[in-house]
Amino acid sequence: MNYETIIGLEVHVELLTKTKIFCGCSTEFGKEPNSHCCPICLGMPGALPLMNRSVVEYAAKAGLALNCDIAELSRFDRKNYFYPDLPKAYQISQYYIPLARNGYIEIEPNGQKKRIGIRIMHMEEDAGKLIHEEGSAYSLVDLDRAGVPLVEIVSEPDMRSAEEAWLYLNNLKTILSYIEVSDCKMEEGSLRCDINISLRPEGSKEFGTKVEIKNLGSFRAVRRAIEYEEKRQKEILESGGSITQETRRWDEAQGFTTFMRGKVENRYSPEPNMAPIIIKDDWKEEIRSKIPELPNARKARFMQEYSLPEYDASVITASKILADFYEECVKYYHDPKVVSNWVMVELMSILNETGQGIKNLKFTPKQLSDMLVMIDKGTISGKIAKDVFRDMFETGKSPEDIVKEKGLIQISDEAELESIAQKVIDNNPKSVQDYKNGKKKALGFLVGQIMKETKGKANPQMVNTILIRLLD
Amino acid sequence: MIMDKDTVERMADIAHMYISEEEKNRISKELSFLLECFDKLNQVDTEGVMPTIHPITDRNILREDVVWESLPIEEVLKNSPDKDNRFFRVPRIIEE
Repeated sequence: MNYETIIGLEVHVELLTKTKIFCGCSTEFGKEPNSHCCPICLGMPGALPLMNRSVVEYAAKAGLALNCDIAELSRFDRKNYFYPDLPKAYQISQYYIPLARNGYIEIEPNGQKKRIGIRIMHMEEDAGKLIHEEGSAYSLVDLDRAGVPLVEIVSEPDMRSAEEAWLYLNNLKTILSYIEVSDCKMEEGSLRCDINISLRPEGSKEFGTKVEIKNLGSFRAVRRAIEYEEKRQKEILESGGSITQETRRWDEAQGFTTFMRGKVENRYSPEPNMAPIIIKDDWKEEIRSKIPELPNARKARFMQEYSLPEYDASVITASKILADFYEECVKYYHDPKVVSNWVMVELMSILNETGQGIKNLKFTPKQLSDMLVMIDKGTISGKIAKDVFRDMFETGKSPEDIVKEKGLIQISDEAELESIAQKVIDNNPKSVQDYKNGKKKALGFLVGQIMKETKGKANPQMVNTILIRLLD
Repeated sequence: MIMDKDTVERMADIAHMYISEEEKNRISKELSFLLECFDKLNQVDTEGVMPTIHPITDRNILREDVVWESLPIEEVLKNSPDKDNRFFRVPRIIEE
C-alpha cells in the first residue's frame, strides 16, 4: 500500500531583545554561569513578572510577517511540568488565547506554489540549562537562559515530505532574519524545531497516530529524521502493527530515532500575575510599518527589475544583508547580471571559505562596482580582477589603490604586446608548427605563455588578435 | 457532577502525586462537592462575557527593554540548599 506522510512542525525561536521577557536581566550568552539572574527569573517567592515591551513588538512583527491575525487581547498561562530547568516549577506561556493565529508561509516544492498554514504563534519564556556530568549523581543548573523570550510557531499538518518541511523551515528562518527579530541559528539553539509526523493510507481523509521527534540540531537533521521516521512507521504499518503516540529522540550520530517518553499531559492554568496584552489597530499598524520588503516579494522584484534568473534572485534574497549589498552595487553599475555573478560566485565563495559573515565586510558595494567599471574600461583584466577582489576582501583598500600599488594595470599597448608575442613565438617553435599544422589548441598554449610572461596583465582580446596576425 | 476515584487517580498521576486509599476517598468527596458549587456557577448566563483573569484589561502594563544589574553570584546562590561553584546542584534528572 502507498502511504501519505503528514508533517507538522513546532518551532521555537529566541527573540533578539536586550533583556529577558519578564525582567531586566541581560539576554547575553557566553558569560559565566548564573551571571544574569535576579529575583524574578530565579522564581523567588513574591517576585512578579514585568513584561518587556520589545517582546510584544517583535512577536507581533513576526506574527504579521507570517500573515497571522493578531489578537487584540491575548493572555498568559502557566504550563506545569516536571523538570528543574525553571525555578518557578512552571513556564509562563500563552495557551488559551495566544498572540497570533491563522497565518501561512509560502513554499515552492517542484516549482509549484503551496501554502503551509500556521495554526498559532505565541510568546513564552525559555528555560534554564541543565548540565549532566558523566558519572555524577547530580545535575548542574544554569539559569542565564531562563526567561529569555521565545516565540513558538506551530504549523498546520500541511507538509507532505522532508523536502517540504525543509523549505518551510528555510523560509521561516529567512523571514524572521529579514525582520530582524531573531538570528535563527539552529546550531546555536536560537531556533529549535520539533517534528510531528504520521502516515495514512493514500486517499484516506483521517490522520494516523502521530509521533513527536525531538533533539534536532540542524535543518539537515530535520530532513534525515523525517526520512527515517517515514520508513520506520511504514514498516510497522505494513507488517500489520500500529503506531504508538509517543515522543522519540533523534540520534544524529547513528541516524535513527529512539523512544524517549510516552504521551504527556501538560497542566495549564491562567497566569494571574500577568495583565493581558492589548494590541489595538494603531499599535498593530505601527509595528506593521516596520516590516521591510519580505524575501518572496523581493525575489520577484529582483527578477523583474534586474532581469535576474530565478536562481540568482533566490540566492541573493536569501539573506537581507546580501540583498542590500547587491542593490547598493547595482546603483553604481549598469549590468545587474554581472553584479549578480560576482556576488554569487566570488563573494559567496570567499565568505564560505573564510567563514566570515557579510556583516563584517571590509569593502563597500561602491568599491565592488568601481572594480567592475575598471574591467569594462580595460584597466584590468577579468582574471586580474579576481586577485584585486581578494585583496579588497582582505584589506578593505579601494580597487584603484590596489591596482596602482601592485602595478596590475592591463597591458593594452599594441607595440609592447607585439614584442612579447614575438618572443614567445621564437621560444616555442614546436607549438608554432603544431598551430600551422591545424592544431588550434596550440594557440591557447601560446596565449598562456604570454599571460605568464606578463603576470596575467596582458589584454587577452588583443593578445589573441596579435598572435593570429603574427602566426599567419 | 461527581469526581470519581478513577479521575482522582488520573489527576494524581499527572501531577506526580502519591496518595493513599483513604486520601483518594476523601479527595474524591471534597472535589465532588466543589464541582457541584461550580455547577451552580455554570448556570449563570455568561454569554459574550470574557473570563476575568486579571482586573486590568483596558491598558498594557509594560516595561522598556533596558538592561538592569543582575544579582552578584553569592546572592543568586544564597538560598540554594546545594551548589557547585557557580551552579545550582540538583539530583540527576535526564529527560531531554
